[in-house]
Amino acid sequence: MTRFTDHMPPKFSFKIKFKFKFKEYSVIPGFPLSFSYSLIYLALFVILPLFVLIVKGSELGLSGLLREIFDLRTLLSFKLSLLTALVAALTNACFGTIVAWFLVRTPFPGKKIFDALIDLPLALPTAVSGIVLTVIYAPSGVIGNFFLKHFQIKIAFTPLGIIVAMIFVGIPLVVRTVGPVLMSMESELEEVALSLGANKWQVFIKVILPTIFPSIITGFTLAFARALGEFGTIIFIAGNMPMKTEITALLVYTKLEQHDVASATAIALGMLLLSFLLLLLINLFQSWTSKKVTGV
Amino acid sequence: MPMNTLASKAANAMITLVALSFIFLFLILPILVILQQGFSEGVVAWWQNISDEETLLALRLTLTVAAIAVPLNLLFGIMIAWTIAKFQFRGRELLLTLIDLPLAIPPIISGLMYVLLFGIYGWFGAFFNNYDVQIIYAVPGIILVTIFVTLPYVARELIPLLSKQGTEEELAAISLGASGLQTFWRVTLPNVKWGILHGIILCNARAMGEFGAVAVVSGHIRGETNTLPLHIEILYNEYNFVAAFAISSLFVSLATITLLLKGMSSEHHSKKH
Amino acid sequence: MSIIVKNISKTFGNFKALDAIHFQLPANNLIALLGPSGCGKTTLLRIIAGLEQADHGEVSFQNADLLAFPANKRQIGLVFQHYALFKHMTVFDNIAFGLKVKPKKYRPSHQEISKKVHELLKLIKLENLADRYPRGLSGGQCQRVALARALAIEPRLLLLDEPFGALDAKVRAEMRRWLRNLHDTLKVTSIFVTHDQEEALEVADIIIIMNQGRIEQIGTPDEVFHHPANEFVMSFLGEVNVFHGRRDENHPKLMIRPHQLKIEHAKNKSSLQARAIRVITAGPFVRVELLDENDHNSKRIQVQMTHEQYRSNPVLPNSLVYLSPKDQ
Repeated sequence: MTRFTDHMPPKFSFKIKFKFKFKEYSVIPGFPLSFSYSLIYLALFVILPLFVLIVKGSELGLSGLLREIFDLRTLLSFKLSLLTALVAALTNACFGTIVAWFLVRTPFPGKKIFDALIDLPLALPTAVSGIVLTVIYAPSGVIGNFFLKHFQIKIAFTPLGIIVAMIFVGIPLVVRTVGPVLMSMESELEEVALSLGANKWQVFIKVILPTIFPSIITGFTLAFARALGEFGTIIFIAGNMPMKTEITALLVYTKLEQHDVASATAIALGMLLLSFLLLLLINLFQSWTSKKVTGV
Repeated sequence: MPMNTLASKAANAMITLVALSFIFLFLILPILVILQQGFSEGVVAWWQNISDEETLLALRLTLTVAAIAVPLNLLFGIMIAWTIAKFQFRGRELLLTLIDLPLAIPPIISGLMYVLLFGIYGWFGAFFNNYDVQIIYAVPGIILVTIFVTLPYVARELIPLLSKQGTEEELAAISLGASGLQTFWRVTLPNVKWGILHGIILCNARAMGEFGAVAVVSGHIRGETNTLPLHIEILYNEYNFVAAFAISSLFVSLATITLLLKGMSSEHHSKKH
Repeated sequence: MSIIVKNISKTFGNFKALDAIHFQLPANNLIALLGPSGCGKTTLLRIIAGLEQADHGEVSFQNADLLAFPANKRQIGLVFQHYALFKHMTVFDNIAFGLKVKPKKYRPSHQEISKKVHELLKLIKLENLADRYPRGLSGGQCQRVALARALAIEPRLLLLDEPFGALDAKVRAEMRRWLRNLHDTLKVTSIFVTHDQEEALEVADIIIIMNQGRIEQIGTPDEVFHHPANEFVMSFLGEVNVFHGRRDENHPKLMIRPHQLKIEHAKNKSSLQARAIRVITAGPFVRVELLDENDHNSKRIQVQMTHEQYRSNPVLPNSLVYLSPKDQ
C-alpha cells in the first residue's frame, strides 16, 4: 500500500547551531514575568545589601580590617562566641538526636504535641525566649537557684548562660534534620541485619548510625551557625561584660550604638568570613565521612 | 512509621526519659514561666499591662510592619516558586542560594547592611536626606530589614511543594484551553493552599517577632519606632518584669497558633500523598 | 481531510529525538505510534499537542497549520500517561474544566455544561461517581475520566500518551476493547503512543513504527505484521528466531516467527537438527524451546504450535528433532 509510504525524509543540510540556551522550552506561561520580578526583588533586598557590606568592608583596607579584628576585645568575643557555639551545637547534636529518635520511634501517647513543640524556638520572638531563659536560669530562678544551691554554679550572666540560650535556639535544627532520615529508614534493613545474626548494638553501630550520621552533622552545622549569629536570645542572659561575657554579635551592636560604623562593619565581615570558613570545613568533613560510609 | 524492632524496653524507657526531660526543660518550662510571670499579679494587671498606651503603639507598629512585609514576601514567594519549580533554566541553583542567604546572615549583620545603605553615611543616606526622608531610625528601615529577614519563608515552603507536583496538571489545563492565569488560579494554587497558608504564618511570626535586625535600625524611639519585641526589652530592662511577660504571653499564643497550623498543614500534605 | 506531519526534527542537547519525521494519514482513524522507549514517539505526540517545540517542520490537520496555534488554542484532547487529573476537583469538575475556562462569549451556560458532562459520564459509565475525588478512583476509572475530560472540549484530534501503561494486565485488556469501541462510535481522529506491540496490533487502524527518532514502517496491523519492512519491525512486532546463514553472503540472516516453524522427527534436505529443551503446554498454544545441535552457543529457538498439532506429533524434552519452515 503506497498511500502510507510517503515518509522518506527529504534531504536537508546539516547545520550546527551555536545558540546559548538559557531556558528549556515550556508551554507553561509566566516565566519572563515571574523570573524578572524575582530577580529584581532579590537584587534590591538581598544582593544590594550584601554588596554594600563587602564594598564598605573593603574600603577599610586589609590593614584596617585586621586592626579592628585583632583588637583584644574583639578577639576575646570571637573566642567566646566560637567556644560557646561549639559546646551548644555538640549538646544539640547529642540530645537532638535522642529527641528525634523519641519522636519517630518510641511509642508514647500525645507525641504530636511534643512534635509541634520542637519548633517553638523558631516561632517565639528571640527577645521573649531571652527574657524567659534569663528568669529561669538567674540565681533567683527555678533552675538557676537549684544549681547555685547544690553545686555552687552560676548559669545566667556567665558563659554557661550563653550556652543555654544557644542550645535553645538550636533544638529544632537538629531534630528536624535527623528526624526525617530516621523516619525514612527502612526497618527492613535492620531486620535483615538482625536476621543475619547481628546483635542489637551491632545493628545500631553498623546500620543505623552510618545512615543518620551525615544528617547529625548537618544538624550540628545548622545549630552551630545559628548559635554563632544569635543575638536576641543571648543578650539578656549573657551579662555582656566586655572581655568576659560579650559575644561578637553584641560587640557589633555596641559599636553601632556608638556610631562606630567602620568598626562594626569590620567585625561583622570578620564574623561572616569566620563562620563561612567553619561551615566550609564542616561540609568538607561531612563529605569525607559520607564517602567513608557509603563508599561513593 | 518504622516500628521499633530494635530498642529493648529499658532502652526505650531511657530514651523517652531523656527526651522528655530535655523537652520539658527547654521547651515546656519556658512557656509555663512566661505565663506564670505574666499573670503573677492577676488578670486585671495583665490586661492593664497589655492595654498600656505605649504597648498599644508598639503593637500597632508591629502589625503595620507585618502587614507590609508579609504580603510583599508572599507575592515574591509565589513568583520565585513558580519560576524555580516549573521551569528549567540556567542559574536555578544560584537563585536558591540567594533565597536562603537571609537565613544564613546573623540578624545584627542584616541590620548593619541596611545602615550601610540608608544610614547618614550610607550609600543612599544623603540622597534620602535631601528629600527629608528618614529611613534608618524610622519606620521604613524597620520595614526594610523585616522584609529582608522574612524573605525566604514563603518561598522555601512553596518551592518543594510545587516541584513535587511537577507540571502535568498545568499541562493538562493548558491543553484543555486554559490561559496562564486560569491555570495558575484554578489548578496550581488550590493544590498548594495549605503550603501558602503555612508560609504566611511562619513569615508573619518572624516578621512580628524579629528583634536583632530591627534593634539595629530602630533607634528605640518610644511610641514611634518601638516594635513589640523592642518594647519587651525596654520593659525588662526597667525591671517591669510583669509587663514584659504579659506581652510575651501574647507571643506565646501567636507561637501556639503558628505551631498548630504547621502541624495541620503538614498532616494535610502527608495525608494527600 | 488528513493529518500531515512534514519534516519534523527535534534535538535535546546532542540527542536527536526526532529526525525528519514525515507522514500523511487520513482522518478519523485510530493511529498507534509504536516503538521502544526513547524512540521519540512521546516527543512527537507532545509536539503535535504543543507541549514541545519542534526545531523545524510542520504539522497540519485538515488543512490548518497546528503549530501556528499555542497549546491552549489547538483544541487537541490530550490524555496523559498518569492521567494528570486535577486532584482538588471532583470527577464532574475535572470533566467540566475545559468548558469552564472557555472565553466568556464561547462559554456554555451552567445547564449546558452540566448536560454535556453528564452525557460524557454516561459514555464512560461513571455516572454515579460524579462527586468523587480522583484519589478515590481506580486506575481504570481515572483513565476514563481523563478521556472524558479531553473529549469534553470536542477535540479535532485526540492524543493519548501510553494510555494503558499504568494499568494492570487485566484492566488493560478491558480498556483496549473499550477504547476501540469508543473510537468506532465517536470517530475522532486519535493518535496513541505505546511501546506494546500487541496493544498496537489489536487496537489501531494504522501503526507507525518508530525507532531512534525515525519512522521504520507505516501500515495497517496486518501489513506491518505480515510484511515487515525490515529486520527491526520484524523483531519488534513479535518473537522471532534468527538463523545466521552459513558462509552464504547472499542470505546472511533468516528470520522466522515461532509459529512459522514446524518440528519433524525425520530429516529432510533443508532441515536443521535441534534438541528440544522445554515443552510448555499450558496456554492457548504449545511452545517448544530448542537448541541448535550444531551451535550450542546460539540462542534458544522458539517454536509455537496448536494443541492439535502437538497431540498428533508430540515432542519429548531432550529428544532430537528436525526443524524446517512451514510451507506458506
